[in-house]
Amino acid sequence: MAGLAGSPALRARLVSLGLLPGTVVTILRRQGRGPLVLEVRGSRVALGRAVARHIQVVPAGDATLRRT
Amino acid sequence: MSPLITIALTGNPNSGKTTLFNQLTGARQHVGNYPGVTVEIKEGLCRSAAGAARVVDLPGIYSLTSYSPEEQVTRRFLLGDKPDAVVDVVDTSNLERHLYLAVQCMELGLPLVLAFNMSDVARARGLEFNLLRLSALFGVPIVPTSGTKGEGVPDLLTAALAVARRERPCAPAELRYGRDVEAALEQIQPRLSADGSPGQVSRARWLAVKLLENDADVWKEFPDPALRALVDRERAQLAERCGDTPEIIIADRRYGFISGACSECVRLTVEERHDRSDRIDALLIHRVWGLPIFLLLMYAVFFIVFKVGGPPTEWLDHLFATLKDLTRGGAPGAGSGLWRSLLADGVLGGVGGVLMFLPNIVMLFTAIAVLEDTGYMARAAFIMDRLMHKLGLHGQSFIPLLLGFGCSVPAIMATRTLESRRDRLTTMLIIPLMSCGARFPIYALIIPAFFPAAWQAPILWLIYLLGIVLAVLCARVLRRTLFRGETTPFVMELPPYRRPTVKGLALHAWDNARHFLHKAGTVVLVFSLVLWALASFPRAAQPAGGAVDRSATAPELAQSYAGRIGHALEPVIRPMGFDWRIGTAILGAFAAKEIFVAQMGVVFSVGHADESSEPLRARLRELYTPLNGLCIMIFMLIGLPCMATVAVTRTESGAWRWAALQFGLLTGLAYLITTLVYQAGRLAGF
Ligand SMILES: Nc1nc2c(ncn2[C@@H]2O[C@H](COP(=O)(O)OP(=O)(O)OP(=O)(O)O)[C@@H](O)[C@H]2O)c(=O)[nH]1
Ligand SMILES: [Mg+2]
Repeated sequence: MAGLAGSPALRARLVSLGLLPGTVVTILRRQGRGPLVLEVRGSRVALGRAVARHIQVVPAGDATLRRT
Repeated sequence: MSPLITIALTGNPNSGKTTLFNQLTGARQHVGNYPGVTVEIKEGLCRSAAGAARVVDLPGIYSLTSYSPEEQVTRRFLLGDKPDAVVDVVDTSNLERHLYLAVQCMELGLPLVLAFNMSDVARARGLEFNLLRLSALFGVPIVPTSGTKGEGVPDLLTAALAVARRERPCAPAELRYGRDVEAALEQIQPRLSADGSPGQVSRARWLAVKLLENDADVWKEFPDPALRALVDRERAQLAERCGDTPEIIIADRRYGFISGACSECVRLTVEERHDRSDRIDALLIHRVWGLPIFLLLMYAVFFIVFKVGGPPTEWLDHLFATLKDLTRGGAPGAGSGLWRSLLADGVLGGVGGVLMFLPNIVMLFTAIAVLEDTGYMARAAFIMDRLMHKLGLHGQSFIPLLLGFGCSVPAIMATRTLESRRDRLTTMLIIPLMSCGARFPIYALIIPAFFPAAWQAPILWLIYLLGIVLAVLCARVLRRTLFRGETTPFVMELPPYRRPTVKGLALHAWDNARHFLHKAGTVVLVFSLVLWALASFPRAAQPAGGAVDRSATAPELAQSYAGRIGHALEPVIRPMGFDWRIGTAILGAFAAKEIFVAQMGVVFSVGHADESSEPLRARLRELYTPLNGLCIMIFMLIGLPCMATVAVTRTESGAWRWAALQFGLLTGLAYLITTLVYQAGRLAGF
């Protein structure tokens, strides 16, 4: 994961769930234009599309960015 | 005697705080496998050989910032009420994330004990912890526990009491945030501590960190512009030097500390990446199958509740009918006839008519408990997010809505997990459209009376679906009119699937059954008696000598007070196809929805006191058509939120006008839709 944008409240919420720049995340599930599920530090987090837009990711090796 | 020790339970949502709280205090607070079950501070008393303590269960939080209401509640309690010991409940099967809050509690210098909960899950996953080393690194005692199994609970209490009494050293380690942040802290800190006492210094350090994080609550304490300028300068400098906002830099250091500690002290003995939950999720939250599966599950629930709960309900029905005949039987003594009628028609006809649905109710609540305990609840929210998003709400609103199938009151309280007030009010106003357990007896009475067996479950399902669809439409309208504004982001943790325990389900079912029985014994009983009196008086001119007239016939009933009230209502409710009997029953339903059934029972029982107690359904069939039945159900589904709902909406929204709006809106809507359905049905020839 490379960057985090959005309002301070949203950023704080994401950070407290373990989503911050430099973290390795796995996309477990992605629903067209719907919400997606990430795996972060061993927990599953569901994010609405509007939220996911604020998260920039870069591929980190092969196994870490799976598309479903 | 020293004052009672206070122990506060804090921790991430769904870490098992309430489970431990129940173990410690013997309470039976609500536990469920999704984040945000507890929304209020709950207290209990804990007595054991080790000593007594006041235990406080707090809403789960992810962090000690002050953005969400739960965080504010919990933080104010931890800082303001100064508990003697704070137990941070940590889910060890997900240690890194859960320790983030622990680190923040350390920063605060709280008298901390870590409960390494869910140790059974961690063990099954092959996780091993070097607790001694972890405890040394964090500088706080750590106790492994399992809330569901009750393991480690006495040890946890002993440790917490020792910390509270200062018998056991608890010196939380001080975290270093790296050179740049420390430099900034050094600038800010001296401005915050008046003197140099150790307590002051550590507090000043925490305040300085919070100011660097731009914490709104702490800023309120320091409205000093010079300080503000200094902090802003430091924040800007930090951002420039490190390329990120200070909040993120600080969070990064916290996670860094945790990762370091974990890599040193946690060992994974079995390698297993994709666990069971992921495999189940592949099906249950599938982008195509997720929604059909949800609808199917819902159908299955109603089918089971209806079909399996059906026979015991019939037995109870017959039992009450027999009792009624027994009460009425025997020679009609002069003074006793009235009392007999009171017992037979008022109590057995009214309360009995409601009580007979107990089996259905127990099954309904057990089904909801299964949804809550397995972890499916959060998935349902996820599945619905796409749809809810279009309505201007987000998936999380769906959890209170689903809880509304049980009872609107806890469901409305559960809206506290919604951060935006607009979302919260919208959700609150539409919750009564989710058909609650109290309305179930109405459907269970009416559906078998009018519809063939094969249609029964589908019709019930359609009624519930109608509620959901209307809720969704109302949400959309409300968000377009009263509560306009941007949709708030949807961020929710999905808990792992867990197998519900028999004990947990049984407790849940029993609690709800007790609530139902209590209601039947109080408010339903009172209203049944009131209606019985209204239906029995004024009595028609009686033969001298007081021989009690046991054959109050329908025209006579129409002359009673109840009949007169009903007749006065008739012009209003006529368009919906309701007669005066239904009118009187509807009035009572405002106190509690079950009362509708009780009132019908009383009215028909008084009106037919001369016959043997034929089941109420047969009577309904004589008088009304299936269309009438459908209209009754639709009206009771949509309109007239009960007294308890109105009251809780008032407290939770903070203003009467929202409660009034809810009541008016829903009742108006009910009137409109029922009239349309009735008139259309009539035209179509039903
Ligand atoms: N296997 C296992 N499950 C547990 C344990 N403790 C709690 N649970 C389960 O975890 C889930 C969450 O428990 P709660 O006690 O409701 O969690 P909470 O921390 O009060 O959650 P919130 O009120 O939402 O903050 C429930 O399904 C519990 O049955 C444990 O030690 N082992
Ligand atoms: Mg709880």
